[in-house]
Amino acid sequence: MVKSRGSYSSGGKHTDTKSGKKLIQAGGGGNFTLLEDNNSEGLQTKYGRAGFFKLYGGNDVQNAVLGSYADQLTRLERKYGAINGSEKPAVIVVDEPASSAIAAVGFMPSNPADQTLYLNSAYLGSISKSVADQQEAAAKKWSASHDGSLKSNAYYAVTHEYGHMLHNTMYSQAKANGYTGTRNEWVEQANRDITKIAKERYHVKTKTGVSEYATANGRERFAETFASSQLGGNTGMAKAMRYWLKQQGY
Amino acid sequence: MPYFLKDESWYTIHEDDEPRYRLTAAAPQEAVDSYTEYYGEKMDFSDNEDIPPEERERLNSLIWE
Repeated sequence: MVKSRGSYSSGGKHTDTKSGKKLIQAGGGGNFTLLEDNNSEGLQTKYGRAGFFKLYGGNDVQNAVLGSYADQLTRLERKYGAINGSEKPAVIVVDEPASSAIAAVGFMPSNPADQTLYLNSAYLGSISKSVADQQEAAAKKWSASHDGSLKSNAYYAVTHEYGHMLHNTMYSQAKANGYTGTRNEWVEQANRDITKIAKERYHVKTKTGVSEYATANGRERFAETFASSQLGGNTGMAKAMRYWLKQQGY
Repeated sequence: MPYFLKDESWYTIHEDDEPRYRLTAAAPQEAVDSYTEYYGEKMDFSDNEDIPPEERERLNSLIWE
């Protein structure tokens, strides 16, 4: 779960100096499209392409915004297959300003592959707000480091949540192949393996800190490290996660 | 070890099921907080009219993190 720490920025105008791409204002409210292909294609189709069977809600959010998140999820899905490895995964878009949850993954305790993605449009419905909030979180080291681009800030929350979907899917596959430990034990072992790679291969010497939020529990640490690794993070832990994912066959 | 496992009267063990540990009514708030951190949270979609009623029920039984 990506949570708000209470701050709620007003966003602003941005230029993606890293990619050089022009950010196109998609309409009122300070929203920007970050991708080139957000056209009139239906959101159900876009999320269907990512592997979801249904999108609930989001009717009051601009297609360009939700479509951008679907594009990022599709890119991740092509590499890791966590959505298609789930059982009838859905996306729920809610507008809950009072909730601290920005995004989350829900799973059935008896079957973690039965999982659903939650996006709170109160935080994620505007790309510029999402970017500004994430920039602040990164600056305060609440969330893990990445390449600093506006895209990475905008996609941080959905990428983090995809990390949860991935460890749930990987655990379920391991269990189907005979693994007898719990979900938590599987994630903790993965984190230990990734940390070992970071120390031995990338010479991480001291604390293996990923972010403040990563200290919450092993699943958050996995998701934070995953987000950093997929968004251009250059730390030993981000590199170790990429190396570990290759070892796992991705 | 999570705090909620500190006292055996606070939880029950379900060896072949998930979640393996379930809190009892005797668990204090500190144990509940620890359990929530360990396993995740519940969300309530009962009033969400964008979601079909049968799906709301399923979503309410999920653990969110």
